[in-house]
Amino acid sequence: MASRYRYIEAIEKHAGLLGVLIAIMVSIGGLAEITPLLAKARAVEPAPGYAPYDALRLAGKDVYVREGCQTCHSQMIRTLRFETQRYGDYSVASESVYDRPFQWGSKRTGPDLARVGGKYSDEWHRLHLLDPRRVVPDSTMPAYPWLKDKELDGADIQARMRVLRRLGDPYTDADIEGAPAAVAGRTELDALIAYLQGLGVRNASTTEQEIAQ
Amino acid sequence: MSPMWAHGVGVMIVLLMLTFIGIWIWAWLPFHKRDFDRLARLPMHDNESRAVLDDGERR
Amino acid sequence: MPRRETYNDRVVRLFLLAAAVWGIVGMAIGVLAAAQLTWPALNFDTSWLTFSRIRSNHTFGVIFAFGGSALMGTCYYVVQRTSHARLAFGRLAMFTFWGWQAACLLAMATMPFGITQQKEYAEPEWFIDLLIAVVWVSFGVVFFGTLARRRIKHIYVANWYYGAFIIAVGLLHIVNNLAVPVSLTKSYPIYSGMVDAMVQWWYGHNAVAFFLTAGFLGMMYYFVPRQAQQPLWSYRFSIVNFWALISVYMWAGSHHLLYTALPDWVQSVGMVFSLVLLMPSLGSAANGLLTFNGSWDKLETDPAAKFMVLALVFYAASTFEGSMLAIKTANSLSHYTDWTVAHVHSGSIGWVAMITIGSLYAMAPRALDQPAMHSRGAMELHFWMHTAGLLLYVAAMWAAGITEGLMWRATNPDGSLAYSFLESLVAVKPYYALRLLGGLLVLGGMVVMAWNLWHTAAYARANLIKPILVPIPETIPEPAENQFPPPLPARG
Repeated sequence: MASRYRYIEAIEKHAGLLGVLIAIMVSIGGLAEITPLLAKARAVEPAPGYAPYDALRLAGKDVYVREGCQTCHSQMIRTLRFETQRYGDYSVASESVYDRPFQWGSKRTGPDLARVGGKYSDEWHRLHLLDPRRVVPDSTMPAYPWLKDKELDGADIQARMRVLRRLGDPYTDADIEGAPAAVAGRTELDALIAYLQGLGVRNASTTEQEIAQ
Repeated sequence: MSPMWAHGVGVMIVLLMLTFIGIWIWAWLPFHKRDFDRLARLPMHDNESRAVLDDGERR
Repeated sequence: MPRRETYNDRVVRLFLLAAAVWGIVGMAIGVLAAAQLTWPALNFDTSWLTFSRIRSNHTFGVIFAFGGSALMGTCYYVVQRTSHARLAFGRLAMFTFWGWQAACLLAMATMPFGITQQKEYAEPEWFIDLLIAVVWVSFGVVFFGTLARRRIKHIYVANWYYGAFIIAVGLLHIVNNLAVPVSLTKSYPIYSGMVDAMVQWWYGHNAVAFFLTAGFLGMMYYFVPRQAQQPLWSYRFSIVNFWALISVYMWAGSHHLLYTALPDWVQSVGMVFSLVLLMPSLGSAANGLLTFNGSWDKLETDPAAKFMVLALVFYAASTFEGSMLAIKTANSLSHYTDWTVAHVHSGSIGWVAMITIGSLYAMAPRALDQPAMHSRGAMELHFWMHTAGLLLYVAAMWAAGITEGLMWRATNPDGSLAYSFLESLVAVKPYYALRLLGGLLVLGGMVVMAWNLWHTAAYARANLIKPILVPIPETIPEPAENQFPPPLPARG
């Protein structure tokens, strides 16, 4: 009986060795694939015309993220003919360079939105977000009526822009100072519509007038 | 992918494959057979060790 | 005076209870989400009941709350039995239980209110991530501390898998959740765009690899030989499979991003490694199934064994499916459709849930000091409800996914697209209703299991349990002077 049990003195070494070997083996794959992408992302300057989201659209993007829209809507037109035919030019990496987190999605219960900007009017979006089945009777999308009731908080947007600047997004002092004015009196619904209308049209900031149209 | 990195990945894949073959050989060494056979039976002993504490030592 | 040591099964019992509760909660939310896709009115225009907000409650609830509790509980059970030693750091083990439950509760209570990072399978905000990290490191300390005081020279293979699960998930969790907080309720990840996509799917894929595969394989490698009452079919084969599985899985994450803006070479690497992955996956499944060789008659008498066998069949089937879907051509059809949902659920309801349920049925009577579960009839009922629900669910989603994939790419003779997006949605609606029925059956089975566990635990609730003695030989060499962790105090 006793020979079956051996109390080993330096066993921790073996358990530790097992742990170290596991850590090495599981790290290799990730390092090989992610490091070159990080290096590449550092080396590439943002393409001209790709400014970060302006205050209103940033607020809209964060509403989009908060509500979980990417659960059903991708923003990634794949390099396949039937995709480009349905949604427009295939997506390129620089288009999502300011998306934290990225919005490529993994499931389309609804259509892709990478180039939805300008396809529908602001009023259509307003009706659709408040009650999708009013404009698309067969839709299964939930309604988001609470968005129209909540006004944006300028100070909050400023705080967000400052953090993004720290992470490397090129916001200027003027951008941040102007944020409260840009979102004053706007609701979360306005912000979300501004964000959607900018998708694929340009990643750049837009003026108040453009949104108001 | 930069050429340097491509070579690195290639070398790593070869090394991983050699490691894999090495593990295979190691696992099949006759030296381990007795230990492995005993280990393979380890989960079956769960019921056999059903010892009960002395009376009065209930928690 | 003889040395006395008992197994610490108290924390195991708590995790068992938590797993049963979270399983019902997580799956009930899944049923609601499925119903909302059939009848959108069930969103009730209420923000925190809306599909897009509660979807992560379903995934987090089932994967981390249910699966995590089951994994931690069985891990503590298995590491003690295969080491012939009591769990190290009893208080810390208790902390891992309460800490994990607190993290799960916090996550489930914040996500529906929009406090979320919205990184798939890593939704909880930064303060919950910190708590998870602390609990996870403590879990690792308890586990490796127990291994360090084991009385059996070799570390049993189930513990290798549990060890890899703990190390890799800790690594994945920390790297993927690196973020800068704006406030308590909002943070931005340090990665953006393409890099974030790669990090996220490196995490997402390997959460499947190490949480939903390695962890549950650890469960399998202990409870399958035990339930079959047969030695493991090939111990040395399990070693080869282990190293192959953990090193290959980490490369395959980019197959979630085929045909996207990710560089081509990364896509190709992901696809190739996904195919290589077939070997260790099928090898592990074969090792488990062949362990039943010679005791297939157990399937007639033991519902727990039935759960385990079907779990292994679905493990083999869904990993085979996964590798096939990682081939670019197949992926162009399946990606973004409900085929993905079918694949995930054949893996989770088929493999993960069934091996868990089988192991819980095997472990619960022992941990609760009973000769058997309260009702074998209820176990049979659970098995058939679960299996019927699983088949209905997966078949419905396969049909829906292939319908969507084919309709999205169908063209008229002149080359224009044949269907609008909406037509594909209308076409799959009947399948969504079938899926709901499948989900209801699985949920019903879980309720049957909870009822059965509750009655099996009657003895435990009355505090009549006798702790189980660790089998210690009569003569033990005195431990070294500076042993860490310190040797366990003698009892009795």
